[in-house]
Amino acid sequence: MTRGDYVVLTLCVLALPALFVRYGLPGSVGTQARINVGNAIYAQVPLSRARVMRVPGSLGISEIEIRDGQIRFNSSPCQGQQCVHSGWAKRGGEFIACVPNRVSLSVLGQGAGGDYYDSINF
Amino acid sequence: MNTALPTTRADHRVAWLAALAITIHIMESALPSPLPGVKPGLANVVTIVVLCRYGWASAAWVSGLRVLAGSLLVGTFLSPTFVLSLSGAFCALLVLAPAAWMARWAPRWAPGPIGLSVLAAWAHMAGQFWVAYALFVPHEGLFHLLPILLTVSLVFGVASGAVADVVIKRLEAASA
Repeated sequence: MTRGDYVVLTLCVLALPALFVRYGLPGSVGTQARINVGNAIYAQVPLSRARVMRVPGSLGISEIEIRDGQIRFNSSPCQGQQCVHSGWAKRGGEFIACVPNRVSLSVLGQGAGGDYYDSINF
Repeated sequence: MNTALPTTRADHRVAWLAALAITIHIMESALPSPLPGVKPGLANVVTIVVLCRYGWASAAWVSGLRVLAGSLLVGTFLSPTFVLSLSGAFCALLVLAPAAWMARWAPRWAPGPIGLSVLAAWAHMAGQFWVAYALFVPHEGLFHLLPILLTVSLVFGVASGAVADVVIKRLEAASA
């Protein structure tokens, strides 16, 4: 290792944290969530503010909770309760749906490339 | 009529070394990659060794021939992969030029094989990234990948620089 090597390595190692701070990680934490009912957008809300929303779906009211930058189904009028059991979503691109009630949540990353998943298959 | 082009010793050396780099390049392209878009860049060991022993011009020839002939053999010639590979190699050579000149003009501060390899790896990655953004995926989200890719290429850069260092020392011992 020469002195020049140390200079290069030091500069690179110093640059990396700056890059991580500047650009973040892929699938970075989402800042907003979109709530859809059927094909229509019901609301787009920031994840920074804690709240509970009552969203009317085709079966009844889905209760949606936002807290600590996360979003979840609190309760649902549906049979399977898969939406409730899905738990919290917080990363860009994460998606929870209550299919019977036709209510869905998607966390919006900073652009499509900031999403945690680039595609989802069922 | 004699149609043979006159060739020099240096031409033969470049051809041999390019062949070696192409072989490594192809073997590496058959390896699975831990992260999409990242590979160890072992062929750059050859570039660094050539740079340190025979100078920048030879390194540029070896690197350019590797990209061209390597893409023809792997079947990616003129595909996006080729464009990315070429832009990466181009940027790496661009950055290596002043770094290599330092060996002559400021030897006390000149980077050795490891520093050169890291510089080349980062320039390669940055060049590819810029071209990927400009030509293929003009989306801000792409930049989220940059820190991770540069971290990995720093590790691979140090590794192939260390290999190049060993090779250069052995060659010096053998030719001494």
